[in-house]
Amino acid sequence: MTSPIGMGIIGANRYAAALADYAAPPAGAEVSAIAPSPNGRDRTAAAALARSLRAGFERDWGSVARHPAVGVVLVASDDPGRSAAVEAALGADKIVVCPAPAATTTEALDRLSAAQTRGHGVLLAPGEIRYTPAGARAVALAVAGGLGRLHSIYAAVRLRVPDRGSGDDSILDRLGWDLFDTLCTAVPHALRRVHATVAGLFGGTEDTAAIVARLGDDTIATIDLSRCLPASIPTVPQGEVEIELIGSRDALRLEPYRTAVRFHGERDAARLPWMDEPVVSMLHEGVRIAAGEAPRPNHFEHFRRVVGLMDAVKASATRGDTITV
Amino acid sequence: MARIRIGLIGCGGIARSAHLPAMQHLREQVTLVAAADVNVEAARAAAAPWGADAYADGHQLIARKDIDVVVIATPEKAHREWTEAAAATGRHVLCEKPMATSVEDADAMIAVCRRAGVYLMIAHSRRFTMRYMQVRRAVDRGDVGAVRLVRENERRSRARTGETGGYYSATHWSGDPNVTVGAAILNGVHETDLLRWFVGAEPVSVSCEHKITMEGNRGVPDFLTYTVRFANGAIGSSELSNCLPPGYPAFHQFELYGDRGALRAKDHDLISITRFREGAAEFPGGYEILLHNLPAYVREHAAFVEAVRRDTPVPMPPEDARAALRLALAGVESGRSGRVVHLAAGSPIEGGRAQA
Repeated sequence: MTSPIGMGIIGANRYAAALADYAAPPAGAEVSAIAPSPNGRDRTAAAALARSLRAGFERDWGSVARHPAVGVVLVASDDPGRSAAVEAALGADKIVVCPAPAATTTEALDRLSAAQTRGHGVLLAPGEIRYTPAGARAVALAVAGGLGRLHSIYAAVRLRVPDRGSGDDSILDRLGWDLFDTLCTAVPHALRRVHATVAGLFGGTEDTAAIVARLGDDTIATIDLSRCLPASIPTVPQGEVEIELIGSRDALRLEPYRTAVRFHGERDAARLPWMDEPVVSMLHEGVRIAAGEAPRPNHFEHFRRVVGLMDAVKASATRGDTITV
Repeated sequence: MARIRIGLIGCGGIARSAHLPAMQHLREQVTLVAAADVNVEAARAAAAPWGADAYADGHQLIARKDIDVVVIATPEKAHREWTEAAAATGRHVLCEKPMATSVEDADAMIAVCRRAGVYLMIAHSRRFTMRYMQVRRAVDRGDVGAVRLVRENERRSRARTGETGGYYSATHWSGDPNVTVGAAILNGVHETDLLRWFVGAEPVSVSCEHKITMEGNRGVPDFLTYTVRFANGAIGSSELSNCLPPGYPAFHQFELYGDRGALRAKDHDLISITRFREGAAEFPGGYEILLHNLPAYVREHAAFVEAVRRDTPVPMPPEDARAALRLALAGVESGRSGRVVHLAAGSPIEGGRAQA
């Protein structure tokens, strides 16, 4: 009988919690070790999670990253220090799943790329949206030309206005990656120019971004990101996500997290028990790769496009002008 | 009370779908005495139910002595000419949007009406839809606090536009680059007006991308997306697409977020009835929500007639229409240059009426 593939978890954010709550580890895998995020703030939650999943608790993330029984590492952390954990896990030849962007700068990306190149580790492409069933189908259709010539993409993510004193990270770093990843996957052409307006409109420093971009094939992308929803609008942690792809023949409209059934808890925003399905899909892919399946090629080439787009957006927002590439 | 006597110049699509039906609803208050169109058959068709006269030349209509109000429903390139002609003979003017093709023309229209002591109102019908009237009232009451972020997207099926000889097609005036700059002012001037109306501040910059998406289009951009920054820091944005496949469920999507609440109206969430035909779906309920919204046209005409009768300010000052046009044209400039366009201080948001 084949031994199960060991999974390690660094951090205790909702992706990790989902594994304990309802999204069991993929078949053929078991959670071997759990450690808190690099900043250590979720130590208590990580310890509780370890007990719940009957996994070993490690005090520092490095132990999980290098754990001999671990083949796949889930970096379930929003801590900016997660990039170091990803780098260490790659250096230890692990398959790494990091749903939040593992790198948000070209320099950090270069370090990860070098770590992967040096050994046998593999960092899976992030991008929750295109791991959703709707997102995956939409992107596949667009890439295959199923919509005809792609004219435009509209994508918006609206999050709740955070409680005072929380959630003040840049909306671009928090949400931009996922949409840019979707955009770069659906449109395999380089950026031509971008106009970005980033502002703090709802109590944060940079809680709103309005982005208009023209890509090399003349597809025009409009991207809205904002923490603007009042508390009375129920939403899942991913926020309200809506995407339209309009082609010369057909058009698609998708709301990947819209479902017929939602749980509304007392403490929390609405939750969908299957909303973490994209991350579970990523874990399945990670386990398959750990078991011998070849990874998808050119992950880092794709990463570079996404980071390049992010850099251009930030430069446009800083300069208050168009960036032409 | 004597009925207001109307002369209609331009008897094409918007006259048939908006102005003439609105007049019929108000026939106790108004009467159509003459209609003019370069296509005299269109003028005759408009005039016939009223027993009115029909002309191929609008100047013949202007020359009549028995007209109180001239309704201008021509392509925007002719708006200034007909406004000047009507005002010169002392007629009040209700002119279809967009106000003109340039800010200079808009200024000339306001000036000539002010000198003549006549009313000028531009038919920004969305201000008279129940949806946006309620939004404005809620904003005025402070229901959502300070307005921070506004978006309105507009989607139209190509079945209603290029593919059937409609807007942006090779045979329609809106597809002629010598006549119009396209979606920025044909559809988009609604949005530039609404954004400014709801935000309550003047725009300071606009960035826009536009393109041609319709097959057979002769060079008139029919798609655009833009972001506007306002003087109070608010952001307004809009994306307009006219090439959706038949049956696409989203027509208008409006979202307004303030620092204490939000207002949203999405046609695709409001569709209460769908009719499936061979090859297409139709949303008769949703369609009536905004597009060709007869109650809005009736309110628009009624408000103008009331202003004329009582000699009170028109509810849509022409300075506001000018500001909407100016912002839309700045968007065109941004789309053409690929650069952010910065706007100097413009007219105040509550402009005066064009009356001496």
